Amino acid sequence: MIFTRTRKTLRSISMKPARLVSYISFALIILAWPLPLFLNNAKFQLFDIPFVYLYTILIGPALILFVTNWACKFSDDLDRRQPETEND
Amino acid sequence: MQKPPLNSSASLTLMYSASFLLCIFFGALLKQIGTPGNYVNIMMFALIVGGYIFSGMFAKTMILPVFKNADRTGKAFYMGQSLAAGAISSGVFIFLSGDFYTNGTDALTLYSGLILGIALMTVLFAAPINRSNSSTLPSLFTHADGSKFIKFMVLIIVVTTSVLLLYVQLSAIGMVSEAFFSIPEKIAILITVFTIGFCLIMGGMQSLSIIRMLAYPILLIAFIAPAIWVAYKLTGNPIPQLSFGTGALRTIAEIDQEMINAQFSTKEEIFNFTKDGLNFDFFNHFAALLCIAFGTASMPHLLQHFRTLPKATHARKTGVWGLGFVLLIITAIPAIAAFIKLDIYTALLGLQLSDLQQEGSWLFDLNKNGASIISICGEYVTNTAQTISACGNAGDYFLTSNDIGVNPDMMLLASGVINELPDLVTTLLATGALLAIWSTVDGLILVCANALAEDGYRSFFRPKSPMGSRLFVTRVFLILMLTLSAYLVLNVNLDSRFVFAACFALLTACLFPALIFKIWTKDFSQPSIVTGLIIAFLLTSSMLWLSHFGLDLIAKNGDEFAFRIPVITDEVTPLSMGLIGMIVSLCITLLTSKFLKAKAAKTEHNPHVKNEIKSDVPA
Repeated sequence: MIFTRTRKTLRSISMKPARLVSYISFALIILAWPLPLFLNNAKFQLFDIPFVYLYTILIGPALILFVTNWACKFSDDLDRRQPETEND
Repeated sequence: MQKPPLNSSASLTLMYSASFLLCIFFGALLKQIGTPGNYVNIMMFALIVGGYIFSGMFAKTMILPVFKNADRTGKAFYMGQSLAAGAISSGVFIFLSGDFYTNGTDALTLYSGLILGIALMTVLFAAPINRSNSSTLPSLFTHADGSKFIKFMVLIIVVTTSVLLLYVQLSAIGMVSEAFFSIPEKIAILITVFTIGFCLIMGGMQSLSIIRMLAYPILLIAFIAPAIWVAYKLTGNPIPQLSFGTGALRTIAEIDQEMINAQFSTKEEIFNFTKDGLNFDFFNHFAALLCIAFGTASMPHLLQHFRTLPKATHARKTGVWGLGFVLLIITAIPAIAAFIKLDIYTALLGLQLSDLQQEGSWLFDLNKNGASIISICGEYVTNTAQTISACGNAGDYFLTSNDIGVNPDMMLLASGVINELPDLVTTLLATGALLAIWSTVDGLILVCANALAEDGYRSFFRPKSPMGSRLFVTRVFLILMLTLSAYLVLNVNLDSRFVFAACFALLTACLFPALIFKIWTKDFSQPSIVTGLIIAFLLTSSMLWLSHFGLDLIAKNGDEFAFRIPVITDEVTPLSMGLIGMIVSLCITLLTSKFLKAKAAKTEHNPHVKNEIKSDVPA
């Protein structure tokens, strides 16, 4: 029943599977980025800064910027290749 | 044909930035010849006011589509600057560094949430909002069956959250203007209201986009220049983001260890700047991060920027540029907090109270004129006798790290004095802070006025009103909103941090799920989305009210409710209530989608619906 319901919902989103999978992947990367903050490991340090701190302040935001830029370019490419739908 | 004002973005930005740098140059000259500090501060203040007036005059318009969407002539790079200036409010520019100083790792919540929010906004909402023909957020929820109830509910949420955030921003204006520009709070707020009102009434979204675009380089210079200066002074490395580890954190840890070895403090007493663990529990911390993120992603005064771009691809690029510009500034904030802590440690730690007058007199100067910045033994002291009295009448008492407190709300603005930099640096920071606040206030006012005029007045009273009268009504609502916000901040006394949390909680619980359902799905009917929205709004606002005011209008008088979730958390913080509201909204919408269906579409025969959609398209 859960599988049927999920399939119905996916169909109702009216999106090609490749685009949907890409969007879900981008969303997971973007949402999962701050999770290392909760690892509580201040012992490993880089440039004398605890790694979790350095990751959250510098490396993570750079990763987010890269992923967001990539997501936007990917969406633009898909828009050019396919006719626009309401949920694009 | 006259060139649209936004086509001159490059030259305008260069001109305003050059004016700002000239003001700094003349300010430095005036300081050299001994001019009192006030003249320089007033000159910077006049520059901000002048920028707003110029923007209003340059972008003035009587054409409604231009007033609402800047005629979609924006360019991604410059609108990205506008977006960044709007996102960098007082919460980021002023309070975040103080949060890092006092809370350490916990402050990464607001930091991470803001970045996540802008990324989500770009990926999820930029293109759909740009493509939609609606000029306001509530209009996005116009349904084919002509029902207006959801539009009305979204209007309530947009106005409520905008007014809450307005209160927080305007409260900060008084603090900055009194302490650093010597302008009384009431006069500062009146000047704010008149200046922003003039700018918006003349040009609407067009002038808003221009002034925010002009504000960003000033914010960048005002924030980064002192950070680079301090980083170079303390560590020899001008990049604060990389140098604060070796330059500050290591030295702070060594000083803490010396205090422990000399038995002035114990390991438990010392607040480790980057300690393991978080101050409050995992649920509240994680919920706060998500609320800040989802709240930022659905912030109406940021989303309205995406309508000023000609195409969806430009809107996406705007979001990416905006994220990059925000990162340029906020990545330096933890470094600034660390450098200030190091300076305070080296200047005050281990000092005897009797030596404070000679070696720490800058501390007394900081706290004069009612500006409470650094406390010793819990009091914002202004002389040695008061210090000795606060610490227990012992003149030979040595100051430890636990005796020294910093007002987190004033810390960044006082960093110029704490780090022994020229007075001009303090003026620079105060100018940046004021501009950050104004560039958020103007967007909030405009989004309220547009929504009230289009989705309140026009939708419910005069659907066929001509464009001229709609423009007039929008301007009337601008004046009303400015008056209301000034009245609230001058006459109502609320805890700004609670109001900030309430705003983000309501956005997360109500607006974010509604936007997701509306833009990204077709399976959920309008009535089910409305049901989820109403229940989330009632639940979240009730929880917020009961936890802060209890059953009366008086805050913190003992009758407040403390919400807890067994096993998960002992106390749900205001921000976490937003996440609970969002989960409830999602569940209610999913459950009711099968049972609540929309009425049959009336697009063929409902002229109001057709006109409503078409008339929002720019001419």
